[in-house]
This record gives sequence, C-alpha cells and structure tokens, in this order.
Amino acid sequence: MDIDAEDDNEIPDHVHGASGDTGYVWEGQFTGAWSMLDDNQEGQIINDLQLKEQVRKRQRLTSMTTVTDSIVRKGIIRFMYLILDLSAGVLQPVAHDLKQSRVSVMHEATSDFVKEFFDQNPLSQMGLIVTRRGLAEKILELTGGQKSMLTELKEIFDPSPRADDEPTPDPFGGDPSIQNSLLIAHSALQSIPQYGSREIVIAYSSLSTCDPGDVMTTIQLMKDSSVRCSVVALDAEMYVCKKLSHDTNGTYGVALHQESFKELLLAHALPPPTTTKQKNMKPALIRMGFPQRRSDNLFSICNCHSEIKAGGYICPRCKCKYCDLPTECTVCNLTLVSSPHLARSYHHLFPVAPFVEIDAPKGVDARTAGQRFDGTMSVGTDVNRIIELCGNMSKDNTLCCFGCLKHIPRENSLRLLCTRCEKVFCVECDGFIHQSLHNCPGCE
Amino acid sequence: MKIQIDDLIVYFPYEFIYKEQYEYMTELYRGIKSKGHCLLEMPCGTGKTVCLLSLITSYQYANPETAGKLVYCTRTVTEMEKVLAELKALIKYRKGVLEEDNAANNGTNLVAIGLSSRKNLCIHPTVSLEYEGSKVDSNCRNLTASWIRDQAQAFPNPKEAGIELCDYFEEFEKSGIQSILPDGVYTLLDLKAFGKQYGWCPYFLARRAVEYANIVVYNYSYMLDPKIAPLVGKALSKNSIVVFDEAHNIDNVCIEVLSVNINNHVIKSAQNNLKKLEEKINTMKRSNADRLKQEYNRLVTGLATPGVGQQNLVNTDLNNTVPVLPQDIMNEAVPGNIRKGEHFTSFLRRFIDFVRLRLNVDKVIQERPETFLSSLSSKTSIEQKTLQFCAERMNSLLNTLEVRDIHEFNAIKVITDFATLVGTYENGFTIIIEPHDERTPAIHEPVLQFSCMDASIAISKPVFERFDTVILTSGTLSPLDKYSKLLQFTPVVSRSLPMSLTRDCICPLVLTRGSDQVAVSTKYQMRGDPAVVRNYGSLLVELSKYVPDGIICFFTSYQYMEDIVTIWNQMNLLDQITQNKLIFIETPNTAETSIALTNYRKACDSGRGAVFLSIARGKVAEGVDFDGHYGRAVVMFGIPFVNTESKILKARLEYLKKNYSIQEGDFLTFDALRHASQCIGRVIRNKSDYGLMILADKRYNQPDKRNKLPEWIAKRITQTQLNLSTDTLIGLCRQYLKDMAQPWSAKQLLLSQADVEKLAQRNNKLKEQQRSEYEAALLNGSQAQIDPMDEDIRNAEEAMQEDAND
Repeated sequence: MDIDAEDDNEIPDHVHGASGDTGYVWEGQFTGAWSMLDDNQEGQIINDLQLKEQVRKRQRLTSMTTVTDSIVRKGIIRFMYLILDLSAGVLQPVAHDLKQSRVSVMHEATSDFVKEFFDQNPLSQMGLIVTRRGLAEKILELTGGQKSMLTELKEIFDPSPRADDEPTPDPFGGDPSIQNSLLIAHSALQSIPQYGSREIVIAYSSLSTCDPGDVMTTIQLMKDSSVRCSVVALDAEMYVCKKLSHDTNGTYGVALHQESFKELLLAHALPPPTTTKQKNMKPALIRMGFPQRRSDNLFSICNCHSEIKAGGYICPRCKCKYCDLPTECTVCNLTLVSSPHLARSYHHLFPVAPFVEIDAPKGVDARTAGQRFDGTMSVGTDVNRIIELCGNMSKDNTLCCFGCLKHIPRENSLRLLCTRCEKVFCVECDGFIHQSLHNCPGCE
Repeated sequence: MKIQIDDLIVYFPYEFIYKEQYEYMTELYRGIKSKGHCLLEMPCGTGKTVCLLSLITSYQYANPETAGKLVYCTRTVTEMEKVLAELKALIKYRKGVLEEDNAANNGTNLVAIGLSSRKNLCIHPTVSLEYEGSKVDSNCRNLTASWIRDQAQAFPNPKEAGIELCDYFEEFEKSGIQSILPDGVYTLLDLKAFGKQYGWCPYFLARRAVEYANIVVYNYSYMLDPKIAPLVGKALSKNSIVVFDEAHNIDNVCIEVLSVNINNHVIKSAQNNLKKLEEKINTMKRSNADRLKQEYNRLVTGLATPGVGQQNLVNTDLNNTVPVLPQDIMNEAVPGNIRKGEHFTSFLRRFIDFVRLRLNVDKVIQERPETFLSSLSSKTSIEQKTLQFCAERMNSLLNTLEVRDIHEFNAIKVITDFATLVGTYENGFTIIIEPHDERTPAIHEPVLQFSCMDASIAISKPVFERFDTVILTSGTLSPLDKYSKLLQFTPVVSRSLPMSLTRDCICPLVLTRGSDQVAVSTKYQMRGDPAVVRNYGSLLVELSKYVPDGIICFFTSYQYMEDIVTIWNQMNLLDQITQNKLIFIETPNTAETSIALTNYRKACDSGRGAVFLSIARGKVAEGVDFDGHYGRAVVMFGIPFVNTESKILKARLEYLKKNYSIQEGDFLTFDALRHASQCIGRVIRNKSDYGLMILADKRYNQPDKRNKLPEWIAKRITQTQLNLSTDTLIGLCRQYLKDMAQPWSAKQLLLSQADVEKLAQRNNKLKEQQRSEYEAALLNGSQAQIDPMDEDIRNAEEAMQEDAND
C-alpha cells in the first residue's frame, strides 16, 4: 500500500507562491504595515509603528535608571575593557539580504560608544581587546585618552594603506574566543584599586566560541574578582554569553538591527550600580589635581606628545605640561581633571527621576495601574495623586511639552510627566533631559 | 493559593496560576465528579502534573470517605521522581495553609509512595549491585523464596548451613509487615533511606504500602501488563482515580504487553529448561514426594486457592498471575493431563515441538489463532482448554520444585505465556511466521510473532471498566477521538487546551523545497534522490550557521539516517557542519547514546554548539527533554511513518478497518504525526523557553497532515510559515531568534487569587444564564444543539478578553 500516492497534487510549481511567501526577507517586517495605520477623528493618520518604536526606546532608558528606595551607589571611576569580536561572524551582512556588513556597523557603534563613554565618565579609563582566529590580542592598555582609542578603532576597521608593500594580514576571520579575551582582560583588571569598578563589554558577532579550556571556570573567576561582564550581540542569544553576563551582574542584549546595536552599546556608557562586594567597601579619598589652563606664549614641550606647543595644563605637583584633560600625570601619577569633569560624573549619582507615561497602555486596567509605576517613582512621591493626575490628563488633547513647547498629539506619541514638578514632556525632551541635561527644567 | 472550583476548594502550591491550568482543573473535576473517564491534552510545560495532583489531592481531602486512591502511572522512573517531588512540595504547602486556617485536619495524614522494580529499590549489599533487572529479581528470590526460608528455619544458624537469607526481608517480615508507614510522601530514595534506617526491605515495604497508601505512583506496566497488574492491583477499589501521564503512546504499550515473539533461540533454551525441570522432578520424586502430592491436590481444587508455602502475607514466590484469565477459569480445576509434573513437561515438549516445526517455513505465513489451534489439536491432540492453564501450571511447578535462579527459565515462561494467550483469545490477535528478518532477507532466521492487534483488550476491561475515573493526559493527544476509538471507551471529558502566551515561543516552519526549488520529502520514491539529500544537508548547514547552541534533528529511521549521513559525508556537507557545530548521533545502544547526550549538553553549555541526530521513534524522541539552549531548533526530516511493509502492521491495519472502521491511511498519518509532534515538542518545556520547529517535508504542507498536529502547534502555523524554501526559512529563523532574545516577562499571563475568583464568578454567572437560556430553548421546542458546557467556556474566554481590553 502506498500512503504517499495522493501527495503529488501539491508540488510547489511556483517560486513565490500564493501561500504568503514574502519575496525578500527584508520586506518581511513591513508586511501588513497598512493594518497598523489608522485615522483619528480629525482625519490624521496615526502610525502605530511610530508609537511602538517610542515605547521601546523609552523602556530601555527607564530600565537603566530605575530608582529604588535607597540611593544607588555607582562607581563613577570605571575601568573598562572593550572586547571586539572580529571573527568571521563580523563579515556577515547585518541582516539577511542586506548588503551592509557588520564591520561598518561595529565601527560606527563602537566609535560612538567610546566618545560617549569618555563624555559621561571623564574619570574613567578604557582598554581595547580584539579576538579572532581563536586568539585574543590586547590592542590598547587601559587609557584615559579618547583619541588613542578612536585611532586604534579606525586602524582596525579601516586600516590606512601601509607605505611598504608588505601585505597586511586580514584583520577579520576565524573563530572568536571568549575565554582567551576574558583572561587577558582579567590579568589587566586585577591590579585595579578597590574604588574603581571593573568592567568588560563584549561586542559579539558570532554564534559560537572556540576556547582552550572550560569557559565556566573563567566565568567563575570573573565573578570572584567582581568583574562586571556585559555582552552586546549582533546575532542570536547564546547560552555562554547569557550565563557570563548573568553571573557577573552584567547585562546581555541582542541587537535587532544596527540602530538597536548602537543603543545597547551606548547603554553601557552610563555607570552601573556597584556590586554588593564593593558596597561594603568604605569610601576612600583619591588624590586629584586640578590644573588651570595656561595660554601664555611660552612654548614648551608637552609631556603627552613630546612636541613643542604653546599653552596647556601644568600638573600642580610636578609641573609637567599636558595638552588635554583628563589625564594621569606620567611623572607623579596624579589624576588630573577639571571641575566640570567631576560635576558631570556627579550627575550619575543624583539622576533625574524617570518620567511616567500619562496614557496607560491598552489592556491595563485600574488594578495594575499602580504596578505600572513600580520602580519609576522616587521616594516620597504620592502614587495615588500621580495616578489621579494621569487619569485627568489622559483625556486632555491640548497638552504641550514643557521643554520644547510643542503640542503633543494624543494618539501616536508618548506623553510623559515629571512626578516632582508635574510638568508634561515629549519623548525627545525626555531623552535629552535624562541623557544630556541631567536636570529637569520644570523642577529647577 | 486556594481556588474554588465548583464546590471544591483546590490547594494550589503557587501564588499564580495560568488560565489554562484553571480550565484544566475545571475539566478534570467535571470528569471526576461524574465518575467518567477523561482525555485531556495540554501543551508540555504548562504544568499538567501539578494541576492533576492539586485537584485530586484536594478532592481526596474534601471527600475522605468517598474518594478512592490516586494511582498515577508514568512511563519512566525519572518522571515518577518528578511527580513525587511535586507532590511533596504540594503537601508541604497545603499543610502550611491548613494550619494557618486552623483546620482540624492539616492534610498530612496521607501516605504517598512510588513503587518500582526491585532493581530500583533493593538495598541488599550484594543483590543491589546487579545491573540487570531480571537478575536482581532472581537473586532476590534466591534469598527470600518461601521454601528457602522454610529450610532455614530448620537450622538455628542458617548461615553456617550454607543457606543465605536477606536480612532486610527477614526484619521486615518480623516487625515491619503489620506496621504502617508514617504519613508522608516517599520517593524511591526516601523509601530506601527509610528501609535502611529500620532494616526493612523497601521493595516489599512499598508493595505492602500499595494496599493502604492514598497515592501510588508507578509504571504503566503495573497497571497494564497482565503478568504484573493483578499482583499490585488487588488492593485498588473501584473508586480509585487512575492517571496515565504522557499517554500519547498508550495503545502501543497495550499491544506490546500482550504480544509474544518466539524464535529458534527461545525454542532451544526452552527445551533445555524443560530438560532441567524433568531432572528436578525426578530427584524430587525420590527426596520429597510429599511436596508434589500437595501440589497435585491443590491443582484439583482449582487455581484460586493459595499454593504451597503461600501463607505469608507478603508473597515472595511466583504468583498466580496469568495473562488476563477470566475469574471462572481461575476457580476451575486444572485439567487432569497436566496435573502431574512429568505429564506437564511431556505436554510442553509436544507443544514446543509443534511450534518448532511450525517455525520452519520458507515463506511468510499469517493465520488466525483458531487455525493454529485446530492444526495443533489435529497433530498433537492438545486442547485449547488445557493451553489456558499453561502459564499458571508452570509457575506452580517452579515453586514446587524449589527452582533457584529463575531468570534462567525465561524461555520456557515465554512459551507458556504464549500457550495461555493463544488458548484464551480468539479475536484481536494474529499469528505471523516470517522466515527471515526484513532487513536481512538472506539469513534464515524464522520468528513466530503472536501479535495483539486490538489495544483495547489490555486496557478496556481491566482498567476502564474496573475504575470509575481514568484520566489520559499528554502534551500531544490529537486527534482526541482517535484514542477513544482505539481504546474502546467513552470519555465524559475530552478537551484540548491551548497555551496562553504573550510571545510566539514556538515557531513551526514548514519547509517544502530547497534553495534550488526542488521539493524535499522522505517518501519512498524521492528519498534516494541526490537533490533531496543535498537539500536536506544544506538546510542543516545553513541552520548550523545561524542557530545558536543546540539543534536536534529527527530522522524517520536508523536506516535512513545512516544512508543520508553517508551521502552527506561524501558531499562534504558534514565538514561544513562541523565548522560551526559538533555532531552527535543516537545509536540503538543506550549507553552510547547517553554518553553522546552528555557531551552534546557540554558542547551546548560551553558555547561550541552542537547538532544531535536522532530517530523519531527512538529513546531520545520519547524521553529526553531539550529545554532552553539545548534545543533552539528541532528539525524533523520527513514524516515518521511506520514501516508499512511490516506484516504485523498490515494485519493491525486490516483489523482496525474491519472492526473499528478506521481507514489505513488515516491511522498511519495519525500515528506518524503524533510521533512527529512528540519529536518537535521536545524543544519546549516551559513558557520562558523558545524554539524553532522545522518540518522538512513537502507533505506537511497539506492540510490533512498539518491538521493532525496538536492544536497548540497547528494554530501557530500561519500562512507565511508554510511552503518555505531553505533561504526564506533561514531568513525567518534569524529574525525569530533575534526577536526571542529580547527581554520579556511572563508575569502578565499569570492569574492571581483575585483573578481566579473573578473568573469563577463570571463562569458561574454565565453558566446560570446559559442554563436558563438552554431551558428556555428546550421549552420552546427548538432543536438547538448547544452543549452548555462548551458554550460557557467560550463565553468566559471572550469575557476575559474584554476585561483585558478595558
């Protein structure tokens, strides 16, 4: 008996059949996009997608700045190794059917990250490790210099042609090794004094790792020496990465597309809360120098470039000259900063409390209304009052942003409320206030 | 939390409950209350076990008088341990709650035990070291059989006389037998620990405890196998609640326990056994003729009377267990021509000779048991009636002869079992004699298969008719009506419950063609085609590039897997896979497979990634879970149809067609699809898990195949997931895997105490409304056929939805 006999009537004789084949995958995410469009009473077209994008962006922000009852201690002096996975995985296109390779995405995102990192954490240092062909290589020691990091990154991703005809080795390829790169970073981070927070951020582009030994012991080692390891992945979720970040109190993010990769990476520019181990540590005083800029015509050799230059900063202890701040005096090891640097780092300790959404998302009834504010309220806020206020405001369609004074339409954008001054803000101002300004214009 | 279901308060050990769990319990309670059987399907990973246990224990608590025992049948020992652990947590929780409420009865006055074979329970220092189950049994018997113990009593110090006894058993016999286990939940380990502490044999302790325990957890075969069931099942009353977990394969289990295979090897060892028995009879005649005489007298009065040396409360001897003998036969006297030992052996000799000659065929013979019997009686003048008593007579003889090392006599027992079965049943069985194995047609290796074709024989009378409530449940039990047809019972509740999810944690994809648009399938005409093999191979290569950690592949048979892997190797596809992931493979050898599995897990843990190749009907497909990163994708290459060339299958199909009007194709598809869904279901074990399910065969695209998948899978196959080629499939996979890696929380699915109360109120209200409407409709004389129950559940769901939207 042939049970297959009746099967032949359904041989697919067409390539893009009527059965819902999308021609190309990149079209996939746009299928049925019209169903998300709707028009409101005034005939304006409402785009649900746009709102969703806003919500997603905000979720990421609020998850980072969760306020708890106690004041969160944050390590503002950070020592971070950035590990780049330059294995064969990085040569793949960003998405199926898209030509742009991950190399350019990674270059762009990491450069932005380095800039943002030093901008937000002027007192911190960063080093660079790359892994490829089963090995890991330290490209740059921990440094406070943003410029040297950026040059190295450029050298890796976009190498300048060499003068001699010597063929340059291919910068990408092979398998990555998580264990090797962690061990290299660990040996360098070991000697960091207690007050500094030790961190590793891995930009990962592969789905496997090629390790010489048991990577689990290395993860345990990281945990024991309280190194916070986070992973930002360009490809799907991997168990090892998840375990590494979970065990060491780090975060693990999988990028959906190039934009979200950048977002996830930039999230690490803000200092994370300190781990329990460091919490028990007593505050220690750190000696710092605050040199003033001298702009006289007196030319002298600077200590950083060994070039004759006019002006610069003079170390108050040993009188060496440096071109840029912040830096560490190469002669007497004094940390040289300016007061704005300290002030910028100081913001992280007293962040502006996150704003709450005025319009409750669909499907949330009154019972969960309280829950939806969980973790976004600063201490001493009257939750019931805010709920009531939100209830009243959500019916109002004439609300304007207190920051940019623009009208915020009710339907397709988020409207946010500062719980302290009870002023309304739009999404853009919310981002600006929390990420750059660090002060609420309504409260001050 | 405490949940009110109808008039019953259910103690549920978690703070939150899924909606489908609540519905599951509601359905279950409906079944139990109406004293009917239930067929319930709920996806794996939604907490079936805890629902079953919570509801039934709460029912027992509320009705201590009327509620019977809970008998929970599992397939494996690990599952059994899981159930007992869950039960332990539940009882602990219930105790806490009841004490808080100051209830008079804190709900801990119950005994729950797990019963397993001697192999898993023995604590004797030497016997327990034995690896093989039958060896442990026989060694145990060497130390505990009644006649050995009788002998030992003659000596003040039996050890010196060379008679060894089991201390644990003696101690149990002396002091433990009358005592009752203290209240509590006993896992196998707990039983062993308890036994060690008191010096009692845990196995016999458990066997005895079955009589008074409130909850018993044991293997399927204790309930279904006619050779074992009467031993442990005596104490079960009609109001007991019997649960078969993972019941999707129950019909095959039923058939297996009633089927016998005999080949030349069995015949030969049976003849040797017979020789030994004859010698023993002769020696006994000289030394202890009394014992033989006693036996003779007993056989005259009938089988039901206890045998020689069977006065003990706990019976260690081989027991009067005959494959499903009707009670009236048990009370009858054994026919005269086999009452005497030597007569019986010569009778058996004739029977074996007949079977041996019958085996000697050069072409396939299929006959009905009647034909076999008539030729038997014409050639050897053996009557059908006499055959019925064979198995029992054998056990009695072995006891009388004080035979040690019983496992050596397995062959003769196979023969006597066969004799009894063939003498007892006429319908639903067939005899097939094949001259050689199908795989090796050149080697003459005849085998006689006495095969059961009707699964209902083993379960319908001894289980469904005996107990009020029998519950069959599994993650994959679709289509439900097939089971009630195959097993011949009418369930009062039969429902498939969906899984409530906030995200698509399963992603079924149907692949019909490779990147070159050549259709792929494992149907017989196509499977050898190099284009098909290459397309399957390149699918796996691509997947190994883009799927992280573990991938599991299922093939339709060992043969096919070997073939296809060999060709892949020639095409260099295996090398390409190993660049991305390691490859592990299932073999028929269990030990090898378990090593492969351990290493597979290691490779997944360490980030190297691995592919596991296994068989759709193998051990891995049935019993191993690939949760989390161990199974990010599962690929089913082809549809796992059974080998349609098999004679037994053909006979069974014919039988089903004739008696139950189930079409051949229908049954085959049903059988293949339940195995396929079992395979792909391996990948998801809880709601936080996610995984790809790839069905790689063009035939899955047909609605008649697809719709036989369980509802919770079939519902998730949308149009865009059908009729895919390799490259579009890979695109979908990559997007899916990235989407699933985004942070997510399952909290909003869970119902709290308040939600459940609300739901219950709404249900009640709707029910009343419905009833009044229904009655009104009846009064109006309209012929509206509304099932009130189904209707209000649907309404309740709609109401919930509205509630959520408010």
